[in-house]
Amino acid sequence: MVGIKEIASYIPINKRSNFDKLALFNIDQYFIREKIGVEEVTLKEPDEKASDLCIYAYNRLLQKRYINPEEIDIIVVVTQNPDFNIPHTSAILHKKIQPKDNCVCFDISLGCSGYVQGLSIIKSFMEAHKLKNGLLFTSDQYSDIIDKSDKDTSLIFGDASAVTLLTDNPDYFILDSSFGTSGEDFDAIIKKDMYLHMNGRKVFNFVMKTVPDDIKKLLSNLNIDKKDIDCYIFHQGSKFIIDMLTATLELPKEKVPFDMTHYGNTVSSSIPIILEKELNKNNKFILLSGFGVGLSFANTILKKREIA
Amino acid sequence: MMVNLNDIKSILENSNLRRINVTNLLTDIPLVEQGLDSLDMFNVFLNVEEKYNIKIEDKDFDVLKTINDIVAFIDNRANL
Repeated sequence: MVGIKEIASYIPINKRSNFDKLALFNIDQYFIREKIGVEEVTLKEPDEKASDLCIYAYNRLLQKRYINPEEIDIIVVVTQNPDFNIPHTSAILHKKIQPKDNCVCFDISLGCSGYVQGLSIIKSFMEAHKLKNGLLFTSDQYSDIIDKSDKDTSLIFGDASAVTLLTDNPDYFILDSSFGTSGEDFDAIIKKDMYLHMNGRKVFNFVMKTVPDDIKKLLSNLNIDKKDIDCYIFHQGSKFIIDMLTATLELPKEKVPFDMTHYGNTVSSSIPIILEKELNKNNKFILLSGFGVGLSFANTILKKREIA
Repeated sequence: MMVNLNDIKSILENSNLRRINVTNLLTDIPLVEQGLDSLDMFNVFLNVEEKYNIKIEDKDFDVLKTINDIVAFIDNRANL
């Protein structure tokens, strides 16, 4: 069974403080700290593309674990800010990483639910074709499409990337997953006229009306009590949405990591950035929940491999 | 269906408004002038929608400023 072996992420050093925007947006420090939850957002260099950020994460992965590029069977990139519209960014990574020629490469166009959906897609693909080693990248550098004078987006999004190594000898198995889309609200998060636009209320309503019930259903389908989940990793959309989900699902705060204060909402990379830190802890079950662009959501549960 | 001020205050109590003492809220002063922010309002409106099974459009935001406005809006929708 294919699952997760290792994760590495890349977070740019360059940052922009949200406290410089208090007057511009008529907000206070409490709103920044307790509602948005983002004190500063990360910024890539202006000329860096999605594939560059992917390679920075890949280089970190190589520092953690030996990987023979010749043994990589599949490269998948989750991004909605590709280097080019044509070709797919994963083909550019094929040139940079130099795996074997018959390594399959494709991109997935998804936002904040992309990591969880990507895990399900690459696991299914690898199992269907008996592949042994796969790389799932997430890289969405929103700084290229943010209007700095837009309160709804410029306080929230930061640049980052992550890579997840999946193998047929994993440390964490990917159990069942569940998904949903509200096409009615496709324009709630949309890039139009060069910039990203977000209707925060539509996103909030969608998440609160769908995600808690779906998580309960997923747990019930797998016969897992919510108390048995050791860690709930929600997409880091804002502190407000995480607090609301934690309260609605009546979860203990210590089981719900919040980690975006010093880099922001990194879209499809927000979950793997936290999961990287949680993999080496003693978590038997980890729940992942991504939600956003689409509007869409995806939930899944990971189970630690028990060593006999 | 008629709603009263206490119904709305009850929704506000259950809306996780951490900086707000709901019992002190005045009914004829805009809620944002009494300390609620835009995200608090999202949550209040979602709870109103779910409790009364009505839809509050984004354009309704401009008329739903006070507790009295919210009571009148719900009564008006219930009587349609």
